Amino acid sequence: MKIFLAVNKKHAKQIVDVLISLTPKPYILVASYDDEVEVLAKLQGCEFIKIKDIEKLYTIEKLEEFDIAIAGLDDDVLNIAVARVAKSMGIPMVVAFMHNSMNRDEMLKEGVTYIINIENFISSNLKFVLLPDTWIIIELIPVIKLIIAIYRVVKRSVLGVNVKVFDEIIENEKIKVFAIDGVGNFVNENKPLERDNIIIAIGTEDKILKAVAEFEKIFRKYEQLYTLKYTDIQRFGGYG
Amino acid sequence: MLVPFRRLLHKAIPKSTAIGYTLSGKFSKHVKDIVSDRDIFYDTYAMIYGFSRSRTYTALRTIYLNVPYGRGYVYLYGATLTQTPITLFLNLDSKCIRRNIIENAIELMSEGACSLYLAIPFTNDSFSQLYRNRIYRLFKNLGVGLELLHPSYTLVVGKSRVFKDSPSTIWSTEILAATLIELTVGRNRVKVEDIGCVDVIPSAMQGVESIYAERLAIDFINMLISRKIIDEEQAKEYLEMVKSS
Repeated sequence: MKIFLAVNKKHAKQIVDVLISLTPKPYILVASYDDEVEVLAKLQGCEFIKIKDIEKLYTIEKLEEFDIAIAGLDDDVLNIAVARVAKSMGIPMVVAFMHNSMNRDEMLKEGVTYIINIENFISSNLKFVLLPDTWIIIELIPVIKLIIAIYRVVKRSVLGVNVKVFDEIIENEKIKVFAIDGVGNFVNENKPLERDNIIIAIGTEDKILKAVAEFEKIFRKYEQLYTLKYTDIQRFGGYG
Repeated sequence: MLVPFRRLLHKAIPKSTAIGYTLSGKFSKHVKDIVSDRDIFYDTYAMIYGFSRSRTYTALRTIYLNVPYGRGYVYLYGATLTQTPITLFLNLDSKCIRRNIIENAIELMSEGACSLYLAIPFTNDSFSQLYRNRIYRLFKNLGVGLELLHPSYTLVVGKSRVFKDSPSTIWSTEILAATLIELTVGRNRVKVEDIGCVDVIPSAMQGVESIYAERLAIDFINMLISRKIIDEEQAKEYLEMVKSS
């Protein structure tokens, strides 16, 4: 197998690490602007070419024999340009790093077969830490559109919702929903969710997005019931 | 059969690539109509250089820059995407752009009359003031860029190679490209045209002009050093001049 990799120093180690662990070891041609990548490539037994201008890649005739191209540069425009070269050279599989999710369509138009969404990984992890009571969508394996929706329960722990309620509405959908507590133990589906429990739903993109909208409706319904209950308590002067 | 004059004219113009840029993703309709004209442009991209949190739906091919507010990088990335020898950069929010200005600019380029064409200042009072005090003073001292009276321009047309070879700066890469051409090829290769209309930088960008101006000055001085036009001692003098202004 022949793999062409255009990469910068930021991502070089992790990609080369994966490529050299493949058996049988593929023939790897690394292209980069950075001297650091040249050192890494040569010491790991890869062929290296220094690029100043992506257009120069069109002059490398042997690229036509390659099976996979990986565009792992630190900018979407550069990765799009690499994908365009790979496509014109007839490389059947093009993998590209994406740093801004809004550039997805443009990447697909330029012939990218598989997109690795760097932005989603960073933003979703940050959101998980900083934004409780919010559904966070993480692209697990974008290649097969497998995603995961995560929800950390904080304020809504008072509502008394349990996982079974969610499970019931997705009965016919091919997704899985469950909850874990703060230390990673599964929460019984009949037990009301407590503070810092994490709801996890896993499935394909379209089904998860649809399910998340339904889950949110359930939360709102419980919130309405909760509000009504406490309005009544205030109106009638307590539980008695 | 009668053929409208404009269509005939277009046949004589070699196709180029249009790189439009916008802060907000809202385009001026008449500018969008011009850049969508397939008779003039082989390819057209819209680059969103603002802090965009939602997608812009348009028929134009749209690229969202990874570094928000870095208008200068539009030139670098535009030159990377272009597949024609001539590339045109323009502000999609412009109120001054007219079809005939663009056609004239491309004709000038295709005739070989110049390597870079700039028209329609894109600035505001504060940025222009900073530019005059910090950068234009350097230009006068060095005897280059004397026609570059404004810190940025709405319409920039040039050979694609020019933008690839030019160093970048956060806002005004065209100024670096223009001065580089003047210094390395010749002053007559840059044409700056005054059409009596000015585009104002969006109010959302106010307050950061000093960063852009200072960065432009530093990048300009670095360019002079790297091209061995000035030495380290002169560079220090120029940096002092920038800081004292």
